[in-house]
Amino acid sequence: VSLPHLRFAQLLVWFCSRFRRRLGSPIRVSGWRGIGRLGFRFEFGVTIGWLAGLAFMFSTSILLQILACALYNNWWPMLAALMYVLVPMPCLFFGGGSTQFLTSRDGGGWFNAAKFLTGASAMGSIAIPAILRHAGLIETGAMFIEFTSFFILVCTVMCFHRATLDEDW
Amino acid sequence: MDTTSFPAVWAVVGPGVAGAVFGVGWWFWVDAVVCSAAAVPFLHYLPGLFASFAALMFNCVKREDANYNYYSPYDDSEWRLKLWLFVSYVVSFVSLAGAVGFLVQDALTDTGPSAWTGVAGVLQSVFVLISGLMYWTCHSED
Repeated sequence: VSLPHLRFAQLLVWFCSRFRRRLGSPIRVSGWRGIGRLGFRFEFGVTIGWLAGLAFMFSTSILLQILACALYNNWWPMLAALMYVLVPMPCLFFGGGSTQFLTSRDGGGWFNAAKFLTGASAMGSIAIPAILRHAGLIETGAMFIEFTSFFILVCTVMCFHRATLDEDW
Repeated sequence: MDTTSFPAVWAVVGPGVAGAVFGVGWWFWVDAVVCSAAAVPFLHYLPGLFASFAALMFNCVKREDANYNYYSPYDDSEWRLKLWLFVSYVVSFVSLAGAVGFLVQDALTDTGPSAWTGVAGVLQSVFVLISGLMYWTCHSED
């Protein structure tokens, strides 16, 4: 592994940490407000914390996606990013534009079709690195980095879904 | 989301799982075609296509309509729905039989696709039909 790739990874990690710290700073500022704004402080803090965590997880997912290509100097794993374009399409077309259809059972046939197509599209993010590895085009380490990236992305979407539902309540 | 009973959870999670299983089936076939040393003839694609079509066929029938509480304004029984389900069963059987036939043929002959292509074809048909059954069991109109 040559030095420019490590330097690039270090810069990206530093950028993510800076972004996280900068986004987290309003929590301390709001902590010094009066006691009457305790509820606002709590709600604001939870939202900012959720957003910071989600942003960090999403950045980590993109970082691993690029690392799987850069560490091995082999850009075949970028094909898995094509599936990230396909996965939101059923949500936007049939699910009403939000992730509410994932945990709904009363939406009827269109919500079920959206869930079916989401599952079918998400499977491609696992299948493409596995097929590239089976064909000998990428290394085993790159395949597992791709799997980790997809897993973190799924966790990000699930946390975003949970946060959105919490705000709805 | 109601997590107290399995049918409720299955009604929510089932369509997504069925889609994932459908994707598994077709990506197995993509893996076989990509990693095959010999060219795969178009005839070998047909079992997977027939299985997908069969899964679509029996998902055109609602599960609640295929029982004895079926009401028809023409005073008929549910024989049309069951005939359609039988035809989709025949298509499923033909796709599985074709996949197994191609597997045996690929395993016996040295020329042409390898045995992995036949195995992937069987896996594709099985996974696609299982995804259709999963979608049929969890898809219930209220």
